[in-house]
Amino acid sequence: MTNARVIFASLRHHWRIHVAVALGVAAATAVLTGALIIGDSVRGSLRHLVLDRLAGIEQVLVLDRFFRQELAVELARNRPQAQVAPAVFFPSATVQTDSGDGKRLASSVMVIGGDESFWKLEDEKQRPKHAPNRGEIIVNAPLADELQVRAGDSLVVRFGKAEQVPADSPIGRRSDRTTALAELKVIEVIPATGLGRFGLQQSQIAPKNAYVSLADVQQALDVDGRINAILCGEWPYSERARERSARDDVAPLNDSFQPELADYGLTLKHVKRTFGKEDQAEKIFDYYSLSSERLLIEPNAEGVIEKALAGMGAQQVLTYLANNIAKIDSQASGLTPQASQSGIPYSTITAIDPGPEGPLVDADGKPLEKLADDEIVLTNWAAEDQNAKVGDRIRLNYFEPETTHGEEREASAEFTVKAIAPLTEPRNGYTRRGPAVYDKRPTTANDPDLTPEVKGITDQATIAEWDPPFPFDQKRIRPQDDDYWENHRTTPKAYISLAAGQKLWGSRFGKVTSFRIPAAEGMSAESLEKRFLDELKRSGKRLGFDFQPIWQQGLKAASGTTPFDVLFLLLSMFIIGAALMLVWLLYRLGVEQRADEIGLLLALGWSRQKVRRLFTSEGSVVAAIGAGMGVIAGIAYAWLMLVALRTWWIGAIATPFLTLYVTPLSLLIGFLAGLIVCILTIWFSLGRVKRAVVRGLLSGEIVGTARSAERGARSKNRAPGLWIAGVLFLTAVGLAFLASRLGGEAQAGCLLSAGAALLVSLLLIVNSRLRTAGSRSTLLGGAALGKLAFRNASRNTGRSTATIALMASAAFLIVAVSAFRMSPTDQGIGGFDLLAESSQPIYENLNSEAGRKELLADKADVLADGEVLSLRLKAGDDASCRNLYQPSQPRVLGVTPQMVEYFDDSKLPARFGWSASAAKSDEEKANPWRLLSTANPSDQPVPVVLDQNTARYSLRLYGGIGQIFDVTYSDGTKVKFQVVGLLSNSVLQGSLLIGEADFERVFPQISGYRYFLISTPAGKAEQVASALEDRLGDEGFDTVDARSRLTDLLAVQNTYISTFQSLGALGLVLGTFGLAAVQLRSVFERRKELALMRATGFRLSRLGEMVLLENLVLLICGLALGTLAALVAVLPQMLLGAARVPLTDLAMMLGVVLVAGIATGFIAVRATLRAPLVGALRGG
Amino acid sequence: MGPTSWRAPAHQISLEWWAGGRFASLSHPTKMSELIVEHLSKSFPTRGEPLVVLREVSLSLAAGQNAAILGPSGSGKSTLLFIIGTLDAPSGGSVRLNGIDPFSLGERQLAEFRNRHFGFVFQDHYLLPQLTVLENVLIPAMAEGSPSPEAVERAKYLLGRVGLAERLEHRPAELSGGERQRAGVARALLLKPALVLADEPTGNLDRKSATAIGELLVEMQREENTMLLVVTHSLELAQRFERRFEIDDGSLKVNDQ
Repeated sequence: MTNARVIFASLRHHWRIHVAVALGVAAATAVLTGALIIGDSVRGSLRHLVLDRLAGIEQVLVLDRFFRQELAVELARNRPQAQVAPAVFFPSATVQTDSGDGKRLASSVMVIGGDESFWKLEDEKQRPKHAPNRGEIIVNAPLADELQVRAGDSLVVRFGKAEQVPADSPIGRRSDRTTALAELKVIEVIPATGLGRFGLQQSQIAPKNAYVSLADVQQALDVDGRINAILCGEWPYSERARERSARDDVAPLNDSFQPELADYGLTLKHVKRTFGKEDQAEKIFDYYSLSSERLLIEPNAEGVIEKALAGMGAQQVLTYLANNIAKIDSQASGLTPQASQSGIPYSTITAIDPGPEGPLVDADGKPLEKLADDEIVLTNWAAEDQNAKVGDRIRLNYFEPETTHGEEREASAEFTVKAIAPLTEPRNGYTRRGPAVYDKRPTTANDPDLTPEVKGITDQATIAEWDPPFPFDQKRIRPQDDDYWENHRTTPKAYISLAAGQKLWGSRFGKVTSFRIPAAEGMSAESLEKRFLDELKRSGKRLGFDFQPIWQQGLKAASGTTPFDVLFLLLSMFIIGAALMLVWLLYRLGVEQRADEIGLLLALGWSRQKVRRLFTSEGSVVAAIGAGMGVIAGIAYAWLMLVALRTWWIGAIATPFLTLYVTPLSLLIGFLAGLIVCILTIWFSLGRVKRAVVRGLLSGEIVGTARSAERGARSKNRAPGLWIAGVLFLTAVGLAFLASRLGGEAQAGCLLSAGAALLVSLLLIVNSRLRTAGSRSTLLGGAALGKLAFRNASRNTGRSTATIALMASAAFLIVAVSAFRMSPTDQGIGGFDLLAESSQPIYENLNSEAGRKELLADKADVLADGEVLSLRLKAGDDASCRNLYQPSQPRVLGVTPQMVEYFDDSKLPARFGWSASAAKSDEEKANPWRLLSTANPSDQPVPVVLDQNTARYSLRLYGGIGQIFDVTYSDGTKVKFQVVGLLSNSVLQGSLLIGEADFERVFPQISGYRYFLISTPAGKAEQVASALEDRLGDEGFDTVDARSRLTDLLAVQNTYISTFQSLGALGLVLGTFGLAAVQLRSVFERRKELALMRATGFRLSRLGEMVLLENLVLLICGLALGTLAALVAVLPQMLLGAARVPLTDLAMMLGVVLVAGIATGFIAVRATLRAPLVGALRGG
Repeated sequence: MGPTSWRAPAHQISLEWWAGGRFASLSHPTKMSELIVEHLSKSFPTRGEPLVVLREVSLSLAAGQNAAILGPSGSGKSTLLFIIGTLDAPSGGSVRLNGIDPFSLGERQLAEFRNRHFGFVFQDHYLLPQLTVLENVLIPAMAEGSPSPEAVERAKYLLGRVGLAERLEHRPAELSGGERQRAGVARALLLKPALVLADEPTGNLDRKSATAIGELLVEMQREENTMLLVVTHSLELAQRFERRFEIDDGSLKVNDQ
C-alpha cells in the first residue's frame, strides 16, 4: 500500500467531487490559456497582415521628390539576388468613377504606378492576370466596393502635380496643382490581400489602393524616366521568408546604389561669359552655379554643399523677386510722385557678398566692399530708371517668403544706394534661339544666371507671356521693362548683402538659391559633383535616400499597442476568480465530506502535514487533469472570444481581421499557470485541517481547536458597528457631491468611489443585521419559511456576508464600469460639427469670404456663419486606439495661430476638454492651445498636444506633461517632442498636435492645409458637407460628422467595457456555482438538523424550498446591494445623458446570473432531498 | 376508518383550535390512540446473505402507555424506533398507529402524518444553533406554514413545564446539555403527538441530568396523555417505564422485570 495507491483509490471513490473540482480547474485554466492565445492571435494576425500586405517587399525608398528610374536599374544590377521595383506612389489620391450613372468619388486612395517588376514582389498565385498597361487600372476590393466598380468600368485618378517649388512659397503654384489620368479601364478587382492591401502605414484596416502603369503616371506628371519610390525584396520570395527575420540593416542596400546630383534635385551649370573673339576672348566671369529645382536649396542639402565646397571661394546667392523698386523722396520722406506711380515692377534682386567673379562692382568696374545690411547696389539701368544716385534711399516691395492660406503678403524694406553697378546693353537681346550678343564689354553684373529657373517665368520670351503664381499686374509693365527683359532677362537690377537678403527672404524652404563656385583649373561639373557626393558619404547624410526596413518596422509595430493577453486576463478576472473560488469551495467541500477519513488518519498517527500533503497530491492529480482539459477548452474559449471580437465587440478592433493563432508556449504557460494556481488554491483550502480537532473530525466535523474558536469568538465580538457604515454612507454622499463639481474620468472615478463606499456601508449594515438576527423571536407571524431561510443564512455570518459581498462586488463592478462608458460630448468634439481631410492641400482660407468664393463659388454662402479651422497635416500612422499597430511615425497636425485665437474667445459654446496641460499663465490656463502659439528654436523639443488616450495606449507615454519623446520619420527627419497638453477623449485622438511655426520648421516641405475642423451654421452640417465635398472633390475633400467620428473612437473603450461586463457576468454565472457549493456545504453541515426537521414533519419539498430560499437570500441580497451601489455611480450619467448606460443589457446580464443562481441552487436542494434521514439522525 | 379520516384540512384544524379550547387543536385525533407493530422485519442487502436487523418484531402500545426498549449496541433497537417513527421503511410486517399504516401514505401525507402523530427526542438534541430555544420548539409548527399564536403559547407553556421559561430567547449554545435535551422534549410534545419516540435520550448526559430527563419524559408523557417509546441501554432509565422490551439479535422479547 503506497500513497499513490491511497490517492488512486480516493480519486476513484470520490470521483464526483473530483470531477467538479477538475471542471473548476479547467475553467480557470481555460480562461488563463485563452487570454494568452488571444494575445497570440492578435499579434499573429497583425504579423500576418504585415507579411501579407508587404508580400515580398522588405525595404522601401520613398521620397517627396522624383529621381531617376535608372537608380532602380542600378540597384538591381548591384544586387542580383534582389527583386527591385521602381514605382511612383501617391498616398492620397482621389479616384472617381467615370461612368454615367452618377459620380462616385473615393479620396485618400493610395495610387501606385508600377510595372511588371512590382507584381513580381507578389506571390505568383496572388498576382493579377497582368500588370496594368497604359490606360488600364487595377483596384483593390475596398476601393471597388466604395466606388461600386468592377472590371470593365472606367475611372479617373487625380493626384498632385510633380511641382517642385513649395506651394507655400510666393512663387509656388497653389492652383491647378492636380493632374488626372482619365478613362482608365478597370482590368481587374483584386482582393485586399497580398499587394492588394499594400500600404506604407501600419493599420489593420485595409487601404483603398489603385494600381496604374508607371508610364501613365510619369507622362501625366511630366516626369518621364523618374520615380519617387523603389521597392526591394530578396528573391525568391518563398525561400527567404524563413530566414529574413533578423534582416533590418539597410546599410548594404543603401550602399548598393549611388544617387547623382540630379537625384537630389540639384543642378550644376557652368556659367561662363567672355567678350571678344574666341582666341582673344576676355573672361568676364567663369563659375559653376549649383541650384535646386525647388528654387531654394533645402537647408539639409545646403549644409552638405557648404562643406563640400569649403575653400573653393563659393558664394551663396539668394535671388528674390521685388514687386517694386522705387526711390524714396528724401524731402517728402516718401516715394517720389514718379516712383510711387511707376517704380520698377517685378525685378529680381540678388543678395550676395562680394567675390572675385563679381558681380558687385562699382561704376568703374572695381569690386565693392561687403555691403552693410541697409545698403543696396543698383544697376545703372535701375538707377537711371529711378533717377537715383549713390546715397539715395530705395524702397523694395516684395512678397513675404512664406504664404499663409495662399495669401501673399507684401512687405517692404529700405536701403541706401551704395553704388551703381554698370550693366552693358547688348547689341542683340535674348531670343528663343540664343543669348544676348554684346558688342561692348559686358560687366560681371550682366549675369542672368544669378536667378534660378522658374517655370512659366524665366523661360518666357516676353513678360506678357509670364504665367506667374503670384498676383501679377500686367498693366504695370512699361515698355522699358519689356526692353529690359529682352536684353537682360533675369539679370538682377539690384544687389543687397547676403545677410540682409536672407533676413528678408530666407524661409523654411531655404535661404540660398544657388552656390556660385569660381571655375578653377581642372574643375569640372563632374569633379564638383564628386565632391558633393563624397561629402554626403563622409557625413553619413543621405538627404532622404534612406531605405526603410519596412518589413522589420511592420513586424515591430505588430507587437501592437494593446497587450491583448494582459487585457483579456484583466477582462476575464471575474471568471478566473470565480473558477478559483469554485475550486477552493469544491475541494474544501470534498475535504469536509471526508473529515472522518482525515480524523482517522490523524488518529492513526499520521502527521497533519502528511495528511495535507496527501490531500494536496490527490488534488494535484485532479488539477493536472483539469488543467489539461482547460488548455483544450482555452483554445475554444479564445476562438469564441475572437468570434466575439469579430462580431459583437468589433468596435475594439475596427475591422474583423483576427484569426486564431495558437503557440505551444502559451499552452504550456496556460497549463502550468492553471495547475500551479489551482494547486495553491487546493493547498489553502486544506488550511482548516491544520487546526481541526481530531475528535470532531472523527465525527465528521471540521471543528477548530479551542484556541481558534476563541479567536473566532473574539472576531465576532469585534463586529464592525453600524457607525462605520454611517461614516461610509456620509463619505459616499460627500464623494457624490464632489463628483458633481468634476467632469470626465475624474467624475466617473469619484462616483465609482462613492458607489464603493455605499456598497461597503450596505454590506456592513447587512452584516450587522445578520449578526443580530435571532436576538428576538422573529419567526412569528407570516412568511416563516423565508424568515427561517434568512436565519439560516445568518447562522454563519462570515460566510454569508462573504458570499453576499462577492456577488455584490461583482455586480457592482459589472454595473458601475458603465460610469466609464463614454458618449461623444461637445467637449470631445471641441464644438465642431464636421471634420474633414483632403487628399490634396487646400491653400485658400475657408474662413475668409474670398477663400470661400474662390473654392466654393456659388455655394460659398453655406458657410457664411460657420467656422473652418485649417490645420497642416504630416501624414503618418494613425495613433488612435482604433489602430492596433504600434505607431512608429504618428500623424502630425499643425495648429495655426487662427485656431489658437479661436479658442481665446471665452464665449465659445464648447471647447476641447483638457485633462492636463503645462499652462502657467492665466491666459494659457484659459486657453491651453496658447502653449503651441510660439515658435521654438530647433534645439528645443517641439511642444505637442495629444489626446490622453493616444499618449497612454498608442504611444505608451506615461510620463504625462513634460515627457519628451522622439519620432524618426521615413525621410530621416528626427523630431523631439515634449508633451505640453493632454486632451480628454477628444476627436483629435490619433494625431500629434504642434504649433504651425514648429510644424513649418520640422516639416518645411509640407505646404497647405489638409485637415479641417468645421463648425457649421445650426442644422446645416449636411449641406456644408455636401457643398465642400462637391466643390473640392478634385482635392479629395472628405468630411465626416465629428460626433460619429468620436463615437467610433470611444467605441474602443466602450467595447472593452462591454467585454468586461459580459465576461464579468459570465464569471458571476460561474460564481453562482460557487454559491451552490457554499450551500452544499451548508446543507452538509446541517444534515442532522435537516433530518430532524424531516422527522418533525417537514416535507422534503418544503425543506427544498427553504434551502432554495437561503440561496436566493444571499444571491438577491448580493445582486441588489451591488446594483444599488452601482446605480449611484452611474446615475448622473443616466440622468445627464452623458453616456448611454445599457440598462437593458445589464438587466439581462443580472437576470441571467439570477436564473443561473436559482438553477445552481437546485444542486443544494437536490442534496437536501437526497440526504439520508436515518444515517443523519444516527450521527452519520 | 380510512386513511383520510384522521387528516383534517388546515382550516378545519384551525377551527378545532378555536372550538376545542386552548390546546385542543394541537392534540391528536380523538380516537383512542394505539400503536400496533406486527411481524416487523428489517434487513439490509450485502454482497452475501442479507443482514437481518429485525426479525418478526411485534408489539403494541395503548394510549397513555409508556415503554422502554432495551438492548445492546447493534441489536436493532434504534432501527425499530426509526421504522416505527416512519423515518425508515421496514422490509416486512406492518406498523399501525391509530389504525393507519403510515407506509401506505405518499411522501406528502407521510410527512404530515409524522408531523401530527410523532414526537421525537434524540440522543443528540439537534437544536438549530441559529434559532432561539422558543423557535426551536416551534419548528414542528412550521412544517406547513408559520406558527400560530396558539402554537407559540403552547411552546412557551411546554418550555415552562420543562423548566426553561427563563430561557426562551436563549440560543442552544447558551444552554447546558440537560437543558438542550429538555428543549428537545418540549419540541417533541408541541403538537401533542400520539406517540413520542425517544432514541437514547439520556445517552449524552451525566447521571444527574439523565435522571432528570427520564423523570421529565415520563411526567410529561403522563401529563400529555401520549404514548412514549424509549430506546435505551440504560436499565436505570428503563425501570421508570410501565413496560419494557428487550431486543437482541433483532428479536423482541417482553421483559417487564
